[in-house]
Amino acid sequence: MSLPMGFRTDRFALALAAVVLFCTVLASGTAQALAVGDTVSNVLRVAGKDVPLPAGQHTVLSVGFAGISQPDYGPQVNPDDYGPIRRIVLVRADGGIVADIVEVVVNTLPHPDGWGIASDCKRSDIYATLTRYQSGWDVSCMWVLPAASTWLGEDVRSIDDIVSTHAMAADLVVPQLFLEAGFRVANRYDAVEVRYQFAAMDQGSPVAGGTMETWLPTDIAAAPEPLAKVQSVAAWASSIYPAVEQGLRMPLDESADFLNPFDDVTFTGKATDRAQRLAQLELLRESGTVSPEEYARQKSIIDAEIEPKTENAWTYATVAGYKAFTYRVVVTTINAGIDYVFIGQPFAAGVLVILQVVVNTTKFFFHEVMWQELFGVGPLQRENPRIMDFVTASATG
Amino acid sequence: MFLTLSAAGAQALETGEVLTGYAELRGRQVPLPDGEWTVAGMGHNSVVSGVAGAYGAIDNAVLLQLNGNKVRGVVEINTNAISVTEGWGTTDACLRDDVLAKLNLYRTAVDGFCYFVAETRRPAGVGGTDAWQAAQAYAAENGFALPQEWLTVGFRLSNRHDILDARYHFDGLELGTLAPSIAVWSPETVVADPAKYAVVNDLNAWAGLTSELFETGLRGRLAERLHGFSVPQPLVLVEDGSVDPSAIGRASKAARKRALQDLADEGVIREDDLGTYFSAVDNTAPPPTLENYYQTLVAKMISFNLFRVSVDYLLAFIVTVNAAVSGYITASIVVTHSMAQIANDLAWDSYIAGQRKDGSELVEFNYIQQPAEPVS
Repeated sequence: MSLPMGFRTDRFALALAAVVLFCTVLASGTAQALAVGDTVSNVLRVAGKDVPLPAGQHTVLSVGFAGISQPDYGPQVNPDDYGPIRRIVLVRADGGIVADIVEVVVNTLPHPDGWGIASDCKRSDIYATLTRYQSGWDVSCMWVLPAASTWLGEDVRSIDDIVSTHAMAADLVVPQLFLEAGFRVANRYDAVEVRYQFAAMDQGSPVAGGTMETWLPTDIAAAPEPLAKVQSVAAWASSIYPAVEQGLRMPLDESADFLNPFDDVTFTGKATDRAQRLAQLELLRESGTVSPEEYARQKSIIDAEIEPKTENAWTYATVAGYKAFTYRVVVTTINAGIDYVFIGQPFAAGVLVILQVVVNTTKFFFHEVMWQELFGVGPLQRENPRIMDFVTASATG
Repeated sequence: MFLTLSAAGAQALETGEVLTGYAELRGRQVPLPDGEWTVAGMGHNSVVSGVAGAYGAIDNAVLLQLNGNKVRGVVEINTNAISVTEGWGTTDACLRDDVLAKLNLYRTAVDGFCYFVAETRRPAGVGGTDAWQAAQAYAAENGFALPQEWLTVGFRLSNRHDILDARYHFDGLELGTLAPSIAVWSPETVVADPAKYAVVNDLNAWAGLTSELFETGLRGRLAERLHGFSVPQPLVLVEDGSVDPSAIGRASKAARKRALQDLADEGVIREDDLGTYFSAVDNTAPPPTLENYYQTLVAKMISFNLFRVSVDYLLAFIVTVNAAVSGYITASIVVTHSMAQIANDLAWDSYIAGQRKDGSELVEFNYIQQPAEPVS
């Protein structure tokens, strides 16, 4: 049975009956829409992307939209160009308290030219950040930071109001402090951002409000118990990271069971992307698919990934600095000739050359920086992702 | 929490298995033209040129479509077993000028998508990949005749992690216009012969229309898109070979508008908002091109000259106290420095771009076809 694919060429448009039938089939075959009150376990499937969920049943609190926030400088993209951005908030209750909150933001429309990195991935005032890769077309990064149910200043994220509303209606306690593991993964077409917020618990009870200072990123190193909890969340985040990345690229196994950071489990690092690829390579070697030599070669590549890469060392300032230097070497040589030819006096020409070096080098550097920051860089250099944040726009339900 | 990196529930293909709609390998799906396709050979391929990361192995499958006891189509599929971290390169066929048609939708250091149409020939002998050898044996065992001349449509799609390479070899005779006596399908002969031109144009259009499905297949979500239907055979529906360029690929304007319409139909967005989104899609700035880059360089040079003229004239006048000499110096500086500035920018930008390319520009596997030799 063959039907046209819904494309519109002139000829295709003439095959109306078949096209209409095909489109009807497509529309009727779309996945069932998520609604407030639905419960989800293991994997959240939304807009053609899969998001792993921590263990337990999660209730959908909100199905709405997110807006896009871009820095004031640099090339601006029309937010409508990205299409509707889905934002879903889920919550899991355990023992009468809100145990974890999951906020998921995904695109519904493929964008042809990449997305961007979250500003949280660039922060230095939170517990931890990790950027696995970033380019002008794809990004993968994560962060761990504190989130609170009451406003504790701009440095501490506030959890969504809808959680408090839900908790009040469901007679649940909302702990004051949550630890958030967030991820932004994006490729050329699609983007997923997910924030897992776990109640910071102490012996079965939410941590006391009076000890908030010890949880601040600036002070956490001096507080062993809070630090251990933050480390648990960070270790959990690195364990679920491969699934978050894969959920953007391919369907996840809906029966996969993902743990919680405070479960009685030690995260050994065996579930990291690198460890999994090594295990897969080992399987290929054992089956004879990969020769011992090829296994050794590929294993050395994966092993080398432990070392942090120095990619994206090119900043606007370093590029401008290098350009200014080489440009100055060339044009100073030219200037010396020009100045001497027209002035005829070596001393005066020398003075002018020195003036030109000092004044023009400064002028060149700042002009370069201005052009790169204000107007973006050309395609040869377009390797740094734009910064883009998803912000709450509206919600239904 | 150990998660296998292959797709959920992905089943391995088995020789003799009959498929319709699509073939799935490592959870990635390749659309199949209408009709039944038989898995004739499975095996592993090699990266024969270029540098790829730790990809494990390249899974290779060969599928046959029959018309009676004749093989009317062959599909060869290559995909990686383990995801890499630095991307894959493109294929030479997408860059060569002697193919009959080609289109590079995008190509960067981390991703790429292209397709091509070329005349190819079945290689003599029984060599080749394990999968191809198995397919030949399968065909011989069952008395299936393999064509000698093919018109091939190839796709190369990759992201930072994975690659999906598929080549569809269609029997020219089955396409209705190719006869052994006219098996010269160079770009020149195609342009000179309206019948050949129409065939190539149709294959090119078919590739363009299949692109979105191919991209969906790399994401392992082709089944959700096809709903049991199949891609039409080439030359069945695209009769005049015309294809709207804005309908090629998953993020094409046509595909994005269709997705928006689907969202409106499902009630996700309001019909009233469709116009705004459609307008944004229509006005989406295309990704910057090399021409944009050159324009930027010139604009930047002009912008700098505004400073250059005033500052350099002032400096020259301070030293010479002579308006004419200062003018000559400034004019000379503007001319020579403008050229130096452009050259400096080009050199540094090219160097930086080269530094950032982690993978090879080209990555090639063993393919079953050979480029057809020109016949005079």
